[in-house]
Amino acid sequence: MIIQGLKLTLLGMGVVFSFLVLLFVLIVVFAKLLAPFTKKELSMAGARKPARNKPRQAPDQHLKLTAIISAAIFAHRARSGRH
Amino acid sequence: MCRKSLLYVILCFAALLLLMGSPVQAAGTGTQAADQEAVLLPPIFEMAANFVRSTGVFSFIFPETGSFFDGFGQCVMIGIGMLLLFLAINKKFEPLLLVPIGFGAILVNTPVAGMADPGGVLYYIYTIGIKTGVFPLLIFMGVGAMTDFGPLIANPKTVLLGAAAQVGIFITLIGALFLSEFVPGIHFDLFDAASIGIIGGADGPTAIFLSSQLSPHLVGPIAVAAYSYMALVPMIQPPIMRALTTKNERKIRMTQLRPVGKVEKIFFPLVVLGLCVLLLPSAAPLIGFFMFGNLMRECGVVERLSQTAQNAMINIVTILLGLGVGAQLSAAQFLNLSTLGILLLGSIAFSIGTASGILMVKLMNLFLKTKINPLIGSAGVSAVPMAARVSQKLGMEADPQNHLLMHAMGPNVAGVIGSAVAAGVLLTLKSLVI
Repeated sequence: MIIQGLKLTLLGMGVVFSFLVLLFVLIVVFAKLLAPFTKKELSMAGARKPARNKPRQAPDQHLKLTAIISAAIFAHRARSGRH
Repeated sequence: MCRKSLLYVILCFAALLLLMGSPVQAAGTGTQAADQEAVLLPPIFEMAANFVRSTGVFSFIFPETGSFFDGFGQCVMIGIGMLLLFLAINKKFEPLLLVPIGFGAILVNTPVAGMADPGGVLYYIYTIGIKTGVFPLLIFMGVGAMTDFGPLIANPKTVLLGAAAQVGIFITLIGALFLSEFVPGIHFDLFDAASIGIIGGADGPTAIFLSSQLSPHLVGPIAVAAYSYMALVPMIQPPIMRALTTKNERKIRMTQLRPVGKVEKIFFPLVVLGLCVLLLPSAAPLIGFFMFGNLMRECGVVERLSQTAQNAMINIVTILLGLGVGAQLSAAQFLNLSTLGILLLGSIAFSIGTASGILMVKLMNLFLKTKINPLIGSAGVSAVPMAARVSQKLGMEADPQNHLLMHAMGPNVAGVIGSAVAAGVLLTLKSLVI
């Protein structure tokens, strides 16, 4: 029985390794083949990046938000002090 | 006052019924009863005795089979169900799976209810979802939709680490046959040994799928072992990793991964599937569903389907899969020497997988110009993303600036493919056996 196990192990590891080695080769080949697409995508992403860095809110909105939050905190503190 | 009088009326009525002692007609008035067949109940004392006989306490002490140990076994299994719940809730051991499995174990060992007997709800969940292999495959699809193969595509060398870690599967297979040969009371055939070995793949759905196909009677213990050890990865792996590497090796810095394009990511699942179709069609259910999920994620045009596969669907199936696996944890199937053997072999499988991944990196480093940190080798044993996190943690211990997580994700996802391929080979056993 153990001999059967050894046979299966040889076959199994052989298949696993050859499958993944072939996969390695294919990944490398496809990376080469698709390199132009990847380059194009990356350059497009690079061009888009500065636009993303814009501040989302105008400064006066920030001030307004800060005022609202501090008012809420103040109100909460006042209420918990009363109880 | 009103309540008290109502209570008296009810008590008087009950006393009257008791005194009558004769069979009570349960169906309506006389004329109606004449039309229908009368449903007769036995005298009240007999009824009470019958009821007592159908309680859980009575069934535990005097089980239907007549053997005291069957009832005791059910109690022990309920205890094991509670232990799984404790581990999941208190220790956070794979809670998504162990909560349903633990609860399922309690339900299936409830006497009288017969929930796992033909006709019971757990029987149907098991038969429909696990025996057919449907649930593990659907989970695999969800896992595919959650997996980012980017780190693997960026550093394809790490594919080999995913292959090396599968040695654990086959060594465990031999170990199971060895136990079966030399330990009295343990009998595993080649199919059982293959199902036990796959625990070393550290991949729950693959383990459940393979064991449901090759040896369904072992699904319960194998799933429990696989998920318990996956939860124990942060404890099992670090000592082995430290023992097999020097401090300088653990400090090896790895270069930043190159960015991977969308087109490459779309092609990847198709390439893997193509390889599977050409070389190993028996692995097509596992690899096919895995890659289908991944293609939905990467193609970008079926965002809704991808979201469903990785959220709603995988959650629903996880609940059912857990209950179905729990349904296999009956005393007769679990409380035997084989289960102990499976638990022992499972821990060996994980340890060998971890060690072989690390040794593979050391072997590759002999030939490579840019060295690989051997700590990422252990991530080859799937267990996504736990094993990769362990690599990251140990890397940070050696050098706080060394971030290995993304590098370890490469062998980690390669390990999932590797264990699916190994499962494919083991599935061919059915046709190989003369």
